[in-house]
Amino acid sequence: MVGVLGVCRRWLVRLGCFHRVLLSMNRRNVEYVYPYNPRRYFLLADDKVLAKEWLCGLGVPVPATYLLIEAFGEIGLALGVLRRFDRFVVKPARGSGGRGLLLVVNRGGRWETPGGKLLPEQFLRQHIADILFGNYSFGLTDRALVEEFIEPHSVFRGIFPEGVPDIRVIVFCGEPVLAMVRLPTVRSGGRANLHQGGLGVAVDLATGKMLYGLWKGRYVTRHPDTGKPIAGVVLPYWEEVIGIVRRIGAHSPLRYLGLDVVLREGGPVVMEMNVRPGLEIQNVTRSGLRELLEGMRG
Amino acid sequence: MRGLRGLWRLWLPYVVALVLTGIAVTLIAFKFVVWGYKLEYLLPEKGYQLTVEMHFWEGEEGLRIATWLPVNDVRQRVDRLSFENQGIPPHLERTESGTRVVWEGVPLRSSGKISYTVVVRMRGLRYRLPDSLPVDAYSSYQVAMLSEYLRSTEVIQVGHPVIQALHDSLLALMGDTSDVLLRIRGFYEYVLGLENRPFKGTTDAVTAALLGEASCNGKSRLLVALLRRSGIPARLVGGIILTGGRKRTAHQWVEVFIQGVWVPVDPTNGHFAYLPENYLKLYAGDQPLFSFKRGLGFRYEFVIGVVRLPNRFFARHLTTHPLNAYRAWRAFQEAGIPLSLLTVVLMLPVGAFVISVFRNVVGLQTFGTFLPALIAAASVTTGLVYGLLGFLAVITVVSLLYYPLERWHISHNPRMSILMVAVVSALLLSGWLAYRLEVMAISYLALFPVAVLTITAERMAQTILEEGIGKALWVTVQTALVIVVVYEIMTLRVLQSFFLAMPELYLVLVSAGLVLGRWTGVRLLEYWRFRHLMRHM
Repeated sequence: MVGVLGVCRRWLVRLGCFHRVLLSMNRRNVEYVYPYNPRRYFLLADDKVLAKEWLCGLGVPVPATYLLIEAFGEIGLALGVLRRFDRFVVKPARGSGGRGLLLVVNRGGRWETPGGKLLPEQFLRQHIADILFGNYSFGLTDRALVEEFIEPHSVFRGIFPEGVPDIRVIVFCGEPVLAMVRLPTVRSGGRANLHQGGLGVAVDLATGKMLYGLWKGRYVTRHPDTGKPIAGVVLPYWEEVIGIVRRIGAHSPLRYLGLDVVLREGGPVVMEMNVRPGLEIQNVTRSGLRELLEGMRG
Repeated sequence: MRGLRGLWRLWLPYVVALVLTGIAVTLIAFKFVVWGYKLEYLLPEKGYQLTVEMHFWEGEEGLRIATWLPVNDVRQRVDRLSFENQGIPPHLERTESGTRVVWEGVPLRSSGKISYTVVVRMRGLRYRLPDSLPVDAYSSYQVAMLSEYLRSTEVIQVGHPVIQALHDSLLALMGDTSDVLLRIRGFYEYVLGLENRPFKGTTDAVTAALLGEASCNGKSRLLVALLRRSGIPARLVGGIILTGGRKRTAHQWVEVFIQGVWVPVDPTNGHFAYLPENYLKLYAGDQPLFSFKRGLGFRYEFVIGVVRLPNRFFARHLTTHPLNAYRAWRAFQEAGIPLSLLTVVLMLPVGAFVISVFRNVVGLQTFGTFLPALIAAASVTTGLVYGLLGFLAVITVVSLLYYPLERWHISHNPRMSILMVAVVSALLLSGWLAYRLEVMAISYLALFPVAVLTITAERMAQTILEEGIGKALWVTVQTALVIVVVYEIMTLRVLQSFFLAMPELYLVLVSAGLVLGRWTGVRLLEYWRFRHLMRHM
């Protein structure tokens, strides 16, 4: 009897704690996204071209833009120019969640995916047309952005050789709140998206040390496919990452943001800003955003 | 000062919600207290839906099936009547016993199903009898007019020695026999006291008397025989006791002619001068419920359900009272918009609110925010089953088509037009199927919101591609679940009547939306989603 009561009590305490700590979807929208991210600035994050311009203005490193294709007539010309690049990425300016992203490698004059699948010119032409038609942007017409192919830092290559891992940092009122690394896996097909099977790894904000990963509902200390240890690995350029994050946070009119940063040899590059950053990071890092954010609001 | 302003901003939605609810409550109070609205004229009434299914086979040389339609009288009223005919038009005959419906001709197929469906409003009725009725209560004129109900027949053997002996001994037991009512009561009590047996087929009065046990028809015949023997006009009545579900049992009881009125008596279930609300009378007289051509394979079944019907006084009540949606509809009526459509449109915001509760409180994911409400609205005419099947069929068709369209990189707008061709074709096909299968409800699928459905189906296909078929199926299941619940709520007659009579309830809905929109609590499914966080605290 006493035991049952004790268990109930423990669970009640745990539930109360959970409520105090967890940032739920409803609370994120009502208390953070709407009041801290004015709607008129949403485009600054949603349109990658605008975001890059703004970030460049701040002196934040972003992938070099090779081309911006805005009309169908430009596609032919653009393809001619692209022959000169060894590797590049084509993405829709307003796509989200990695939709419409195409990585292209030039191998001996032939375009291929990094995995070695042949990409005929007609395919590329069609893909860019699809982007302009808005196929990846919920039916809006869009622009196609061709930019530098970012080769991830060797630290990540050692853990899993494919795909582009990135760091997600939640920034609130100019300060970083939580961070995680998203690593591709075999299951995620080289992509780093968590809901597609990517591996989320908690990162210690102070030191940039990777702590533990969450994969398929289990906490792991090694990469599930390669078995390489992830716990304890220190991310390079961490101080620079935090510096960049702080700089963006200090100047952005969007006060509650999710920043996507990719590390390469030579330093971090900011890939994307997100006005409605996902909440899964709370599971990965085992810490509740609500508690952290409320502490910062004072 | 700034803090105060911030506080005001925070609380403003709640203040607005409170004010709106206050206005609504005041208006409703006014309607009922001052303007004479009456709840009893607004609330829906209970009704029964009965489908009499007649399956036939070996009908190559044509068929002839006859049965009875429910009687309209003080106790029961037919609200709606529809037929399923297999290409043979039903032929109605008014007879002394009731309304006979006959199908005669060559059916589309040699075996199949003919049926009729009625929706009836019923009420229980107790007959007040005079204190006493002298033996000479029936005038010679009445006796002459009612001779049919005093006659001896092959199965109601009034003159048979067994009946005669039983009659006389019962009279002797009763003692005082000058009062007809006492005699009726006495015979009724005797027959009621006999064992009820679920005999199949016809039991005549004499057999029932000899066995001392019978089913409803045997007991009723025995009672009629005893009454007629005493010179009291009486007849058998046939019908169905309406209990939910499927059944094959019909029922027979007795009517006694007392002072110009046929008074019901049921010696099987023990009702005297009273019929409960669920006794549906189909015909009077010792008639078979079904008759069909010799050589035809035949089987019948009753499908019974309880339904909510609009209040009979609803329209009149609302036209004579101010400020309701029904009066507003009268303007649309000129334009040929039926009330049912208005009702569905009126309930759409309710459906939308229910969906937002599912999404924001439960945490379910659905394809499209308001698609479930639109599907539910479209299902009002088709019925929920066909609505859901239509939804699933369209989603499947589009998902299958999506793969080649995606692989060939067909651009968004042309892709949508192709998908829409597929959706409309599927709906046309459903119409053709409806015709072939004679399930006309399917043809209402054509009323589906095609554009919304197409867009949703495309989203579904995208989900399959990006997050896998498992996730897509899971969201489909959740969407279907929400459709079912929203449908049930949108078709609640009570709610419909309330919104028609009190459109100010919309203000309450808006208030609820404001409060829900400011709600920051944990969605139910988030307890599961963030279980890792919970476990490691």
